[in-house]
Amino acid sequence: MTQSTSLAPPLARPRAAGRRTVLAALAVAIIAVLPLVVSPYWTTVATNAALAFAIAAPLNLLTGNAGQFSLGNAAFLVVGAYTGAYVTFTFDLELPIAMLAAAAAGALVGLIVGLPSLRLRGAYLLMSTLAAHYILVFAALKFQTSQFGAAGAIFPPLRIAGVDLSGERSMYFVIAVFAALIGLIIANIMRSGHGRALEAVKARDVAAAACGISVARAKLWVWSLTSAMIAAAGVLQAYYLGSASVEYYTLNLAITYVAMILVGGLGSLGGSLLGACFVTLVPVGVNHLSDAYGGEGGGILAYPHELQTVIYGLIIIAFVLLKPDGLIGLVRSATDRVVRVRQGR
Amino acid sequence: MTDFLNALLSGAGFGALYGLVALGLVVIFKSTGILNFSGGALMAVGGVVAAGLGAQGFWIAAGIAVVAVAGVGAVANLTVMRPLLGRGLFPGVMVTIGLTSVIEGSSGILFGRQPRFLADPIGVPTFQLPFGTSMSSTLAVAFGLSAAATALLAVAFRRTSVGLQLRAAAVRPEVAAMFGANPGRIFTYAWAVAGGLAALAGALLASLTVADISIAAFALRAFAAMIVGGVDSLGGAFLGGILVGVTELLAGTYLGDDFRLPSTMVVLMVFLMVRPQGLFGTPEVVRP
Amino acid sequence: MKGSLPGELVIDRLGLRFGGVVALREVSLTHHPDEVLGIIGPNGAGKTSLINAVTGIYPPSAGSVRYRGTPLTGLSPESIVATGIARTFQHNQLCGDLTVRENVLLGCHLRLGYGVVKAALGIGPARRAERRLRGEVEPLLELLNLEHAADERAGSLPYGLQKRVEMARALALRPTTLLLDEPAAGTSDADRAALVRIIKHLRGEGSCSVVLIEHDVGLVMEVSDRVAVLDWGECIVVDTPEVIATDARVLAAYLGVDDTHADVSESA
Ligand SMILES: Nc1ncnc2c1ncn2[C@@H]1O[C@H](COP(=O)(O)OP(=O)(O)O)[C@@H](O)[C@H]1O
Ligand SMILES: [Mg+2]
Repeated sequence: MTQSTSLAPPLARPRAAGRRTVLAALAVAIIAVLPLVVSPYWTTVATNAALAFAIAAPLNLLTGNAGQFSLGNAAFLVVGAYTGAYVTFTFDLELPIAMLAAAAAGALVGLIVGLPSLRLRGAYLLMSTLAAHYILVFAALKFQTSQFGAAGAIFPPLRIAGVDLSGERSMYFVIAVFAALIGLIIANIMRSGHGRALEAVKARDVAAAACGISVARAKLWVWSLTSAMIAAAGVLQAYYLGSASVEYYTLNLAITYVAMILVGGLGSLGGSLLGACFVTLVPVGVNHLSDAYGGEGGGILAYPHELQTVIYGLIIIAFVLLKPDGLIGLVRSATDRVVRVRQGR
Repeated sequence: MTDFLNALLSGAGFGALYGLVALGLVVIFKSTGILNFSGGALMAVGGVVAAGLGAQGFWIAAGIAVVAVAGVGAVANLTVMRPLLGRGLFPGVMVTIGLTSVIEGSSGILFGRQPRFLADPIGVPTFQLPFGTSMSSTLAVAFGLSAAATALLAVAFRRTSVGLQLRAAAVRPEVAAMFGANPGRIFTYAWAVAGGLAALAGALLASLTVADISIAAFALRAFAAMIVGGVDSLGGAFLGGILVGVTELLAGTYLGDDFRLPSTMVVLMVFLMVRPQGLFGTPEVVRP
Repeated sequence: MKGSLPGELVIDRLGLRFGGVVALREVSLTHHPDEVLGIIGPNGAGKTSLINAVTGIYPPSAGSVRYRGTPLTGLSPESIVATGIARTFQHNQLCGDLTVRENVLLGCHLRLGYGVVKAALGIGPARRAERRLRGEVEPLLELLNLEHAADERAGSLPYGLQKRVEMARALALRPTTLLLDEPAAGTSDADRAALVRIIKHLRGEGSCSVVLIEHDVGLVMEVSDRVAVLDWGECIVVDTPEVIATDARVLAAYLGVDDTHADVSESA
């Protein structure tokens, strides 16, 4: 018999669970203190990263865990933003209600966009999400013209229960709380039997069915749930940007979030976070370089926009080719090494 | 009636352009299994290069652009695409998306972002046809070139040893290698062909409208053309392009210009739902 | 489902075709409760196809299947599983990125007892259920000697071990009928001995009847109560191992295909 010696887990699970609690507490502390210690500029960057995480994390559940490669997320954002705008303007509702309405619309649209996944796979399924993107954005354009006018929906400063939350710092807190909530829900699902079932649906759908998992139902709930989350995030994003207009919701925007989960690590919540931060920071970094050195005779630094585009492309290519498990893979191998050193191996 | 006929004619012409790009997508998908998202960028940079050489006249400018972008395709394969063979859908799509970014950004740095113009391929700007219809001469040339390229490639795939190796490599790379085919080299040919076809489409588009890197978005219709024709059919790419182009122009004529792109996406969606293997493709066989 | 007795599986004139290929032609077979039914036959005879048709992976093109009197034809694979029929796959179908324990837990999916909403909220019932299921898979991991590997990535294990994980996952469904597709192919002597032990254990316990597809004829003869022989998609004979061993038709079926013997020696 093939013996698996040396293979007992180095530290059993309870310890890992404890470490997770500590990490979570640390994260909460950092999130809470951050805007108090950094400049408003970096608060803005942090807000953008938190928002990006709230969109990338559901996408990662859909694509990384359930294996449904989707380019539909920008369309779900606009579905959410416009549902939110419509109920806010028409019924004068508070943000949380608007977000719930947007989530409901997102769940329904996500269910419909997910239907092809029952019959199609691979390139064909991806093409169906591409088509869905353009069809939905076009529907949003028609809706925009009839409801809000050519400039799109202009959002008022954010107020909840009469409290003005439109300042940079309060916006940061609102978005960070939402992002944390999304992260918590996704972490819970990934740890549960339903999260396990998603992995089976992705890797071995025949075996999943042989375990009594309804592959169709699993695909549909994950499409629905993740689209609902992205749509809800769309409302916050529109409030934060101050307006929502169809030109913003491009295929390139959709690709940005896919790039985040690729760079961070597919199928990993920590990966979504790292990827969201990293991709948000790229233009910040390039702009800094360009501001510092890009004047007269600055060479390529005189083209910050083009340079950003090139660097962004190179990052995507480099991660696929050299680090397919993403930044979280780097973190994992680093912590493994630390654990091994501590144990004196 | 005249509107309708005009839409058919222009639709066929634009469709032939989509067909050219789709042909490149099919050649790559057929041989390497990679779904190429950089077709639009290759096309646009072809248009930009051709328009930059506009002083040489259309044909010389287009010829140089075709060769240059074929080179870009070959280099792309040798550097970043080859390691991806057999790694599935996601990595291939993402690397070609990254490639798109690199090509678009580099084009901006090298050639600037200002729009350029390119002369018509033949002296007359439009052909006057019966029933009061007319067709842009560039679109007519596009139709002819696209049909010719499709026929040429189809023959090459069947008759030449490179074509045979391409087909073999697509089905079973390891077996093809055993019989002396060199998949690496073969895939480089595939990428060069795709680059050249896209650049030709780009040059034609540059003479129809303007050339700047943003015309890349035009090539989205090539995905629809590819699915409608069948992902593994060369003739299908051409005919799929025509079908998509005609749909687009009809939608534009009767519903309004903003319906053009969405109508092609509806066609794409309908085919995916009703006949995913397209008009001429082979249905996918799934074995547990 | 624990405690419910094995059921009778009746396969009636089952047919399955793939385009021009006829994989099964009018196959009729009855699997009695409490029996180990062996199925042998040369490569391409249609053994795997028979399991695929019974479990609903490929809807049969003719005939019917009944389990405990309930017709299975037309049901989805997951509904068929819910009637108590579990299977393993000839070619491993494990989730390579999940651990062994998680793979086995997949087999408990029908007993999760909580929905996605409860899972998302991470509230008590979901957590308690997970703890209960983790307790339930421990004995299975022990039965199949997998405790040491429980936290390994399934994809990193040697082939024989993976086959056992497949078996554990199928048993986690608590089936009343277990369909095994070549569980000993490509495994070691020790794995084979363990397989014999487990099949005899299941038979002795009386909670689960077994259909065993195997190329290793010796193994089939050792553990089966009856043996069916498939050839070219047809069931040519069903009888006790003793009779099968001397049946001329069986010999003829095998003599036509030499590589069967190669397979037997390979797996030995
Ligand atoms: N999904 C499929 N598509 C086409 N033909 C198949 C498929 N599955 C099995 N077959 C064919 O059915 C026949 C029986 O195969 P199988 O049931 O796998 O045989 P066995 O398990 O006895 O070796 C073979 O000729 C095989 O090629
Ligand atoms: Mg078999």
